[in-house]
Formats: sequence, C-alpha cells, structure tokens
Amino acid sequence: MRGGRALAAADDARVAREPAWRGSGSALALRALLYLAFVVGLSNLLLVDALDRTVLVHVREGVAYLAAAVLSLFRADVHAVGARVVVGGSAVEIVNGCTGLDVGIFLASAMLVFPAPWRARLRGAALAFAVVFFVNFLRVLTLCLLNESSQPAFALVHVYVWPAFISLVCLATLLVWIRGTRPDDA
Amino acid sequence: MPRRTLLLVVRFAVVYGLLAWLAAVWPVYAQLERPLVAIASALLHETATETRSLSFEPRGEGGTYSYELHVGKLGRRVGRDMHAHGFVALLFVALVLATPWLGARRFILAFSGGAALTLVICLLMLMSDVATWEQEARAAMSLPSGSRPYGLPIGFAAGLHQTAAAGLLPIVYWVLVAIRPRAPRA
Repeated sequence: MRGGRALAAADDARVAREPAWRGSGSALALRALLYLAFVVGLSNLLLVDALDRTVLVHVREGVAYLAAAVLSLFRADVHAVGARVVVGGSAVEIVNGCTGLDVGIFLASAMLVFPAPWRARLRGAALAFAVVFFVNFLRVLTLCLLNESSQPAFALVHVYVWPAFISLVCLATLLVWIRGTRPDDA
Repeated sequence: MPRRTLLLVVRFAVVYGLLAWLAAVWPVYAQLERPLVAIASALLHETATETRSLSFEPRGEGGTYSYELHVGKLGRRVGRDMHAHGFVALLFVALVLATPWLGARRFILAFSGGAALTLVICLLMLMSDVATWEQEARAAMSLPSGSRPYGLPIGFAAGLHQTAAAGLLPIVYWVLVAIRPRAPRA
C-alpha cells in the first residue's frame, strides 16, 4: 500500500526496460485465453465419470490413507475407510475439491502459459502441484482434527481460513517462480 | 523469498484478514450475493410452458436462495442456504489494496478487467448452482432433464466451482497484468 508518483515512475521506467517478456497486448490476451482454456478444460476433466472411477478415486483414497497414517502417529483412534478419514467418532470424506488437484491446475496453468522457456514452465508446473499438494495435505489434517473437536471452528477454518491461506501460498509461489525465471527468448 | 514478494504477500494477508473480519461482523457476503442473484435471475431462460425465478432472502449473516421452476401445471421450489461466492471479490480487493500504487491509468485498466473477471466468476458459480437446482427440481417432478435454465451452456463453470480454486483466477490475472514482477535474471 505504498503510494507516490516516484514509485509509479520508477515502476514505469523498470517496465520500459523489460518489454520483451511482457509481450504486447494481443500476446497477453492470447495467453489469457489460453489460460482460461487450460483451467476450464482441465478442471472439468475432474467431473468426468470415467476419470473419476479410474483415477480420481485412487487420489482421494490416497489422500485419506496418508492423512490417517500421519494422524495415527499422534492418536490411536484414527483410520481410513475408502476416501474417509475417521477420527474418534467423526469422519471427514475426501472429495475432489479436497485433493488439491483443482488448485494445482489453476496454478500450474498460469505457469504453463507464462512466457518462459518450456523447461522452466514444466518445472514450475511440477512445483505448483508439489506446493499445493503439501499445503492441501496440511489442510486435510487440520480439518480432520477440527471436525472431531469443534464443528463451528471446522466451518470457519474450512470456508474462510484455508481458501484464503491457499490463495496466499499460490500468490507467493507464482511471484517467486516468475522472479526466478528467465525471459523466453525462443 | 525476495523481500518485495514477501512484503506483498504479508500485506495481502493482513488486508484479507481485515476484510474477512469485516465480513464476519457485517453481512458482507449476503450483500454481495444480492446483485449476483438479480443478474442470474434476469438471465434465466423462459418459454411459453416453462417459467423460472430466482430470489435471495438475506437472513442474519447469510441468507437463502429460492429457485422456482414451473413446467405447465407442475411447479417446484428449491431452497438452499447461501454460498459465499463473494469470497472471490474479497480476495481480489485484498490483493488490489495490498499492491503498491500502479499509477492512475494502469490501475483503472487493470482494476476494471479484474473486477469484471471477478463478477463473471461469481456469477458463473451461482449460475452453475442454479443449473444443479434445475436438475433437482426436474427430478422431483419426474421430468426429463432436457431443458436448461440458461440459454447458453454453463456446464463448463461446474469445474471452476471448487473450494479456493476459482478465487485464484483474479489473483493470477492481477499478478500477470498488474503487479509486473521485477525483470527476470538475464
């Protein structure tokens, strides 16, 4: 929230020195369209029944199994049943929105359309999924514990805290990755 | 993490925290939902034999959607609790407020695009909910699921309607269009 004309002028001067990788307005618009095509296409893949039955069900069960394995290090009354994590007398079902795949798609797609060398884009996409899966796994662990201990806290953290925190992590990951990439001079 | 990035992320976290607190104290999400419902209702597709209506009744910090479908003499109302689609707007506003001043022209251009994108995302998420309620209403009346509540197909929006994921769209837009990260290493 810093202000001032000097900052804006310095920013504009910096921008003037880096036009090559920013690209023209039409290139930016094309990348934006490509990004939308990526996220809409890939996120809708998660809704395809055949993919759900053959692949996504294993992802959900894998997340549930891992979450139960980690939580069972600290509590004896934890186990996984299919895609459900049972903690004491409560259970949390892992659905597609809980695997992190959807968020990973949004973040990785941004890196894939960014004007960087392809190797950097692919590394970025892998980094995006790794970061999102890790943070999302922490989300699943906390929600499993909160669901058992406090429903109001579960609702608050599930609906407001974690979506914001995941957005924050994605913002930081994207910015750090962009600053670390070389311009695409291909 | 570079200092500039860290500062931006911290500012974003603080501003979003404040906005989320305001949204918890006042019914911000319910107020954000009202214009969305008005637009989604205005876009509903009707024929001589099929009429549809969508309304929203604020209640406390939330509210209730009411979707009515009439096919000939048959009619069905579906009531659902509010979804806080407005969290996408809060994330976007927090990021805008956390960003150093861009200069008036750049700010207006970038903000207009981001605001329009945010509105479209929130609207599509609500319209995707309405499409689900339409199917429920038709199934309850034992009608075939041939007709759609909107003239345009919005099934693609279902994939965007995931926890946190849709909120990333304006964030990615703002990072790529407005923030302009420092020139990459040569």
